[in-house]
Amino acid sequence: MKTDVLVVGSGAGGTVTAVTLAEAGRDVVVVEEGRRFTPQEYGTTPTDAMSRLFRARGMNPIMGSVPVAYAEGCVVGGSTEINSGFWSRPPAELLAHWKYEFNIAEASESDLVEHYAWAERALGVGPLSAPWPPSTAVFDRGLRAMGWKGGETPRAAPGCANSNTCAQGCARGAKQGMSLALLPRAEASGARILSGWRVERLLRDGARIRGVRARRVHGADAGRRVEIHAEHVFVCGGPTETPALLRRSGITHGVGNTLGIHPYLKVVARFPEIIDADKSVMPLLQVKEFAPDITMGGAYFTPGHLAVMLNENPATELRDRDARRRMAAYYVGVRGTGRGSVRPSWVGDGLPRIHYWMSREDVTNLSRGFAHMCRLMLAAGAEVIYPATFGLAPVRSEADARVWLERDLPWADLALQTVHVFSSCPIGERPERCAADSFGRVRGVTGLAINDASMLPDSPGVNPQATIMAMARRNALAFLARTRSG
Amino acid sequence: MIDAVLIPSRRFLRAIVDGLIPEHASETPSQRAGALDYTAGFVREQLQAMPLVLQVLLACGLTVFSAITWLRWLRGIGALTTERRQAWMHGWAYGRVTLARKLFRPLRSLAALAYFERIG
Repeated sequence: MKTDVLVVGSGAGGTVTAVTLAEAGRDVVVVEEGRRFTPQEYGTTPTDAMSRLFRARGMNPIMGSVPVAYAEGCVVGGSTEINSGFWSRPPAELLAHWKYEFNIAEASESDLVEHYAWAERALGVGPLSAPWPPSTAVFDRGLRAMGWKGGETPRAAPGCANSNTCAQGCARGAKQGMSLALLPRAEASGARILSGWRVERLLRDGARIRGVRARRVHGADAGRRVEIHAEHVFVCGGPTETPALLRRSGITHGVGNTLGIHPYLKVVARFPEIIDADKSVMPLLQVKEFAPDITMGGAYFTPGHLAVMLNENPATELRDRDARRRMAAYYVGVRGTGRGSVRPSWVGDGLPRIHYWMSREDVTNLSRGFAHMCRLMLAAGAEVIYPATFGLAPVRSEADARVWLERDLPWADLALQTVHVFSSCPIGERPERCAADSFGRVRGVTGLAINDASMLPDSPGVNPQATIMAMARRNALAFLARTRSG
Repeated sequence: MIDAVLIPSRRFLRAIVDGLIPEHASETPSQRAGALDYTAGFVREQLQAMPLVLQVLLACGLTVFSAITWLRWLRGIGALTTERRQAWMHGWAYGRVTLARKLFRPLRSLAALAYFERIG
């Protein structure tokens, strides 16, 4: 097979690349490892969704000083199919900092604003159109009692009907994952989507990238291999698969050495009133008082996920259905100042080895964030807060909470998760630390660019989807301008 | 092929899950049996999806666990009485030994997720 532009991966970065180039009249092929589903096939149980939609069924944790559970999508649309659609533009100071640190051209707030606006229009980003569910209302009560900065985070989910199936794929088609919002547009402009093909290696002629070799991973012909030749290849496999593919293909400079994450710690709060958190979308507010170092917000809540959180300590309330109806889950997230790495598998299982070494600052921020979250929950009227960390006693008073303003949580038993991973192939004009130039062109080869979360130079401190989409569109338009002019 | 060596049997995992998640008065025996079967199957499939290196580490840990269980009780985990199995598992999953807790943390998390999704 031959094409002009080959896009590897159909997540936020890959799809924006494909739609931008296809609508400009370029011949585009998108190769995606995961399968394609319709909204009617989404919304199954969380355990079923893990097997169908998550890479490695969600079982490839980030190892290092503290293991971190990590979930990313492996489906047409990538992680946008299983996230909650939260949408945050990063603060202008952060973009200015990136420009200074990495010398990135044309990436200031004023450069990116049109691209953020484009993505927001495409995805229908806005607040929840229905009344807030109880898990959000109690959070708001606490936020107002504390007098902290914060509020509702907009989402790419117009018409959200509170079905609480974001992580299983939105069966109502309200959440605007890439498979629903933008890929059909790309296809209408002629892009071809090949799902169920895993790209194993980039094909090279010396320093020239001329395509990929892919293997069929689904269907009756699983195992079949093909070569797809292209004039230009955009690798958008996500923050772990992109560096793994580049390294497998012999491209190692600045690749996979600077992985960043937002580590999250979860808590469960029990209130006097009925919350029924499993019957509505997760709490929609975020606390910005301590941003960008510490953020707080709502966590996904189902009977199974609640059990995982409470099960960190043997909890009798796990079996108390009345108590469970009065619970909701929240998270404390930190910007992540540690560093990690990604390396391809060397044992043939196809899963990259992902490591992240927490910094002392990360743990301190998690501890302070935990204390603040408990204070907010108590101010909201919570009777008790259960930390999802082994050995920590439930928090019932301001004094219990304040302990963690002075002390650090125990490293060894932290139960952390993340869905925000980035910066494994940073872009910029500092060749000694950046894998690619300001527009994603990979150094040392021609015909190859990256355009996904891996390119973010550093932690955005907020949900990265908006920034990935804005930067991807900027890079795709720059590619068009460059290749048009020859 | 490698899975057959590294991943514990469904029967073994069912005993582990039974030890990690005590029964409750609100569940009928048939509900309990159905949930345990489902959970053991789910846990097994999840473990098969793990990176090979982690599968090897888990297999080593569970081999040590099984050996110590035999030495202590002169029978396997599946042959212990329910009360003894639950107390034994509790000691490993929530005890003082950090390595033992780390060994059982993925198992108890997966078990809790599947069991309570099933039971509701």
